[in-house]
Amino acid sequence: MSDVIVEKRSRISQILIRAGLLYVAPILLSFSLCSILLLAIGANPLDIYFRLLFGTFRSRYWISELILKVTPLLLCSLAVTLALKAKFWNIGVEGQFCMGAWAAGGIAITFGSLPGYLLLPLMVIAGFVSGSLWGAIPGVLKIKLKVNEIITTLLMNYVAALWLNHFVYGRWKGRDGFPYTDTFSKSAYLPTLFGQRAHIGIFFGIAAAVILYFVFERTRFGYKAKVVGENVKAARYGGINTGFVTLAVVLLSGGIAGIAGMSDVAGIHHRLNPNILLGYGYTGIIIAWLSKNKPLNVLIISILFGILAVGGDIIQVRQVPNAIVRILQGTIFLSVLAADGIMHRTRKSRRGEAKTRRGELTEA
Amino acid sequence: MKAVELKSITKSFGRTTANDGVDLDLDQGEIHAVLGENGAGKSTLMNILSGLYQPDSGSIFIQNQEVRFRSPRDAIRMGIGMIHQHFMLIQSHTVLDNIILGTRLPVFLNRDKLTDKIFDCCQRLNFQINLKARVWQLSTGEQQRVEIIKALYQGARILILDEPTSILTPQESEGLFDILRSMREEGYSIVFVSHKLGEVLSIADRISILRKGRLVDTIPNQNLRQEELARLMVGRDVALDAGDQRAVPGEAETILRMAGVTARNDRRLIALESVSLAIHSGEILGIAGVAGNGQSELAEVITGLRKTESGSIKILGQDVTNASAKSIIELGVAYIPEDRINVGSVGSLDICDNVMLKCYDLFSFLNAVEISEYSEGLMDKYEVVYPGLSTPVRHLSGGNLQKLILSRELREIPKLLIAAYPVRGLDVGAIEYVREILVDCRNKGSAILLISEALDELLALSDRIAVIYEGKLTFMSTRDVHTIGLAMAGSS
Repeated sequence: MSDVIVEKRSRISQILIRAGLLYVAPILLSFSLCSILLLAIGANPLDIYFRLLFGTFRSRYWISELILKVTPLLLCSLAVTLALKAKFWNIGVEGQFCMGAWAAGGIAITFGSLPGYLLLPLMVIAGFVSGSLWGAIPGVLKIKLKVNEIITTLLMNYVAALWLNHFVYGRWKGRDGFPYTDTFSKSAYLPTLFGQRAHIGIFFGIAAAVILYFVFERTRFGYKAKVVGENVKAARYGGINTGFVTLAVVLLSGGIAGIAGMSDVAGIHHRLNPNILLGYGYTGIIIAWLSKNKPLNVLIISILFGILAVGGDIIQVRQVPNAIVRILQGTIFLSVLAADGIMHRTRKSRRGEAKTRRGELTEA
Repeated sequence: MKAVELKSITKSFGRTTANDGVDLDLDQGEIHAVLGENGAGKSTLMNILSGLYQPDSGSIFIQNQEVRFRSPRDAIRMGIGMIHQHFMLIQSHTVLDNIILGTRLPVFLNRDKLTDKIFDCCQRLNFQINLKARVWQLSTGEQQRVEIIKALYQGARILILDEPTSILTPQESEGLFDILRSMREEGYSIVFVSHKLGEVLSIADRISILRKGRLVDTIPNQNLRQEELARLMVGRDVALDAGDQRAVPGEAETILRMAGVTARNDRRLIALESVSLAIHSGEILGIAGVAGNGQSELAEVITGLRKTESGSIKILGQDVTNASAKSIIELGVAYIPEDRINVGSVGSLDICDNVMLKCYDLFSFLNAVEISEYSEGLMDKYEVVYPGLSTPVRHLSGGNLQKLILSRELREIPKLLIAAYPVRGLDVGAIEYVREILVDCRNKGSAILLISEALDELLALSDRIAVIYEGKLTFMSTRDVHTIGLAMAGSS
């Protein structure tokens, strides 16, 4: 009995040590590196970091801003995570986000007279479908012609951005004559929360996280996607239609990205303009990676990234440019990446596996 | 003076001790066999001698001088060459370019001069090889020779061969033995790693037997019998031959019928050429042949993993030519693939997920408890040793992984079983077990296509034998090893 407890305790402490080495130490390192920059511009790092991390929770307004930021981050990183489960590197979330926003905006402009309970669901569907179709193009190219999806999804982001520009500079240009559409009718606004700017888009994100968790842990489809992602040959051997599974995963991933775009235009911007693309799709890749591809981790890390983003706005009040947040994000990502690599290598060489070759079993 | 001396080498991986105080010495001009089952620690010991691993304790002496290898490069510099089981050659390069790879090269290559130099070396040892040929054009036996020359060219005086005959025909093995004998005459020292008793007895001067990481004994090869060696190796008496287990022919239903099937391999070359065969229920059809003559393609065509160019395949009377893998599985076709690591299992996923690979349709929503119970039942039935159900299967040993695959494929008695090299790389105990299971399936009415490289195994288990050579199938009317061996090499 006591043995079991001791073993459990040592397992928990092992996990804590691992988490410490993998996340806490690199993050502390990043903060201390960035404090050099802060000192250089004459700011007090401790004060700035305190505001950066805890400033958000001092007022309702900033908490609402946090929810606002977390919504697209969460959806975009889930989209990346989902595709990655089937080893599809969806770098194109930014473009799918853009197409989702474009389609939802188009519906809002064209059918502005419809009541909200019809218009909003229509926008959600339009956002999902156009995001997933945009993702389907590289998906089909990969399945049918083995075209590398990292390249195609990335390139299609630029196409999507230009597509959006084409409309806001052209036929959808508003009455002001500037490159943005007219504001949507009120029925195309997502309902807000606590009388602040935050909107119900966050529930799309939370629902998506929970659903994905369920799909991957509990359904046959999730199982198949996992096998396809881990070993395509074994999947084929198991009678799994790998092309179909990959395509389904990509459609779902693009669709979620499209909903992120829809919720941003219907929740915040209330119009289409070229500046709705804020790089959430790319940040989503970083979050997905840091989460080790687990939907529930994605939720936590999206919130952390949201805190940093909002904190960036808060520290601007202290005359500190919020670019420091970008630098911090980058440093954290690189140092966690490095820590992961170092841990991997030391563990391997300790086992003596470092030099065994592909496909061979060690005799251990 | 000893060429090499290993003194009380110990090496552990985590909690497993792969080598426990092993002593081994090698004379000048000696062929020294290292014999042991899989997992006995042979490969670890050889990897230590060739500089891949560093021992936890113990020391290595070369010509009475203590050495310490930090990398394979150090070992090569001390004249130790290793021929791996899987060749380390660049297929699209010429033989010459492969041989000079890894040596210090001048800025400008004078290939003619290098060719002359290597040619002399080949002459001395009676090697015949075209240095200008591309590696992919060579047979397996020739590729192995390239590996040997490469090691010699790098200055090896001590050669380690890891299971060198596992991919050769009986004739090619004889050819290799001739080469090794002439190298011995030239004063080279050779370590010959194997678990095949017959060949060890025919080639070795001395034999060292490893069991569970320890050295059992080193004995001179004089008046030894296979049974004694087997006992030393396994630690108990074993039945060496599978015995004659052929079925009594009778009225039987035709399960698989292939007519004129032609298929291409991944390089788009013809790999199967109008293959026709029929297998009946309660029958084992053995396919002999050197690896790479179309065996994999044959298995893949039947299981729906490869498209055919022409011809037809019928299973249980139903036309399944180019049908999906899924529909063929549903007809009751089980498949033990050749590559159990990259095809038969998903290394990063756990035991439950791997057990489910062929029967995920049994579960509409995945209930962890239900699946665990199901997997546990199968693991117990097939005596798989595993740390826990959530262990990624890449941590299982080869034998246990194979048992897991068997348990999954044979959860119900299959109508048709395709077994490709089912005992490759397994230890003696596991081999006995797998063979018993195959015979048991056959006796319960399965039709079995058994692809193997071990002729004695095929002879013992198969009711009929066919040889595959360059994609063509020839049915054998004789069970004479020599005739079959010749057919495997393509001459009739």
